[in-house]
Amino acid sequence: MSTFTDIFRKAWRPLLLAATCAFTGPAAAASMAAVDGGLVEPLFPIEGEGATVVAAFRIDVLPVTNAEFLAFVETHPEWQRGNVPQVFGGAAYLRGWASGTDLGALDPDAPVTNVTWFAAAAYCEARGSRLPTEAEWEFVANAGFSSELGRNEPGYNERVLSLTASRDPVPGPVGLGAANYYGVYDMHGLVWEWVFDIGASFNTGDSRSDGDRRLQLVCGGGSAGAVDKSDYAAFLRYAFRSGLTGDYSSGGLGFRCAN
Amino acid sequence: MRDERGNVHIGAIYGLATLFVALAVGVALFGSRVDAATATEPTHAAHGATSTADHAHELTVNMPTTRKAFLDDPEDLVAVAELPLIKGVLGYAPNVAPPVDRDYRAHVEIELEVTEEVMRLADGVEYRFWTFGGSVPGPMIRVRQGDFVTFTLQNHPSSLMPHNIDLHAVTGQGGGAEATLISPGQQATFSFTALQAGVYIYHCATAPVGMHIANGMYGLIVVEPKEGYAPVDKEFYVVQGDFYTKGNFGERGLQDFDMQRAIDEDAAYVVFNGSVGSLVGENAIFAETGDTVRIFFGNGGPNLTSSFHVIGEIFDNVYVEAGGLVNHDVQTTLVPAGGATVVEFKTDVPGTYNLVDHAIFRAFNKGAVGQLVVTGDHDHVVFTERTDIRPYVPADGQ
Ligand SMILES: [Cu+2]
Repeated sequence: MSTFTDIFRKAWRPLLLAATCAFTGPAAAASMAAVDGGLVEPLFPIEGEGATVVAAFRIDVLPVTNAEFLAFVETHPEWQRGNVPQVFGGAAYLRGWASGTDLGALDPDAPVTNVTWFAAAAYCEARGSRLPTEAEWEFVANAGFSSELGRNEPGYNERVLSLTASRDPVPGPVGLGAANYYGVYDMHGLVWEWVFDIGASFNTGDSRSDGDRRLQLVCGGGSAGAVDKSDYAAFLRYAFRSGLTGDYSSGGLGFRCAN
Repeated sequence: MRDERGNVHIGAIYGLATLFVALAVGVALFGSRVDAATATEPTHAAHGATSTADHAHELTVNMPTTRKAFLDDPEDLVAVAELPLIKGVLGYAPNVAPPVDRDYRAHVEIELEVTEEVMRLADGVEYRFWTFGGSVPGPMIRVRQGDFVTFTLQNHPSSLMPHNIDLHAVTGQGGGAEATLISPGQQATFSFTALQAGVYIYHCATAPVGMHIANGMYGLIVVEPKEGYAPVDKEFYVVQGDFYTKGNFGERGLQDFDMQRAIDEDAAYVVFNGSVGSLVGENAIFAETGDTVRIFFGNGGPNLTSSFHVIGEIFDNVYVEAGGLVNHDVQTTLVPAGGATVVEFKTDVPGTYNLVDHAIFRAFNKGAVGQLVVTGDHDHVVFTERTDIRPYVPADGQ
């Protein structure tokens, strides 16, 4: 399967190269990278389900920061801490803020965390964008630092695993690491990120295959069916997303927008 | 947590049972266990006309020597709601959890917190451990066969990773893994009945499972047989684990997990209780001559099978694979990754007894060594120490 995908990607290469650029979006001055799509293999392929075709999209070069989220809640007070119903805000929503409109001791340039899926989706919507799908996010995450497919770069899996597993529980400023092939920063070394289709790691609509996939992730089924058994960082990402519900938030989970 | 291990004298002390009595009781109990399971045909009338009774009947036919609960003991039929509620007390290695000391079933509540923290792996070497209870191994959990256990797993908000727990003592989906999968800052609860006596590994089972185990997420849950383990003077809790770091053994600094090394089963460290030296020198475990000693020994792996041996001792009793079969007079016992054993012996003469994985390069080059220091009176019939040393000249004069 991977061979087929690699051939497929090669066929798309001129388009991908032509489309790789950064631009300043009209809303909130967010810098986005254009990605001309391709195929994303599922971590655990299920019979009858091939790779996901990802159409062309744009994605934020950086995760949304505390400062940017502060600007959002100032113009959208319904998303300030204390104004958000529990069902959308959850218990830990914007924990660490001094007040609804005061970051307190938080670094304005650090990624905003302790945000629920609902809040992240609302932010992106207010900006005229949306959360990236899991497939889009993974497509960008699978890019290398110098080439379109990371796993073809020597030491890539190890480097990404180290970035993922060794990061600081309290994230520092965005944009300090190396940009990837698409000019996108912080896909691995800073925070987990919300995707549009949370639960996609399990939720295929087929309860039997959902169960299979869930068991692979949480019950020691391990990597029996996985495409790339050495991509431990991908296992960590899928496992993290598999436990999420929309009202969850934590200090290690942020987001970026796409459209 | 590991700094609090100084108080290693606290084993369980039940009194002054002699080895003879301890052995006799152990053998007698073991014998009666087998008899009960093989000779007693459970009657449906005694259990009521329930599926439990039918189930028990099938199990008895198919597995005549199992010690499973719900086979033939009326106490197993007491409703959960009527069981006394008890808060489980955990034991941090090398200390054990307190013995059950009960002759009735209970509803035991266990809380266990998952943390991710940088701790010492060896002198000058630190590692980002993922832990149950802030220690490697995770704390010992101890219940009695037939107990109904309500288990709550908590993932500290500062964690980066989701975690869960698979207790090998659990009969049911994933040993609780699916029920307990939790993101940072969440907790989850499930319940189970400890159907079978034995000593069982628990471990994290979140993908990638190997990495979670390699980072230290394992410990032991002891399910005491209904009649309990025979009283001994000292009990200890030791778990072996293999670690895979970017740097070789002893290379200083904060060492990252090395995925390729783990896949290749090329351990940089093989240690007891989570670090080199955790049972050595001032951290050694202690006993006096004449003590009966029991070690609950587990192997978290993730990869290596242990050849567990105590240099200078012979195990009087080995609970083979921590199950119902007791072997005697054993030098070295195999403990598989994800498995455990119970060894018992009496300390006859003073000395420093090294606990090792007798795949011996692991002991002397990778850390798998601990010390049981025995003090007390010498017995020069059992062992004289050295009585003579002199030059040796072969008869041919060469
Ligand atoms: Cu874990």
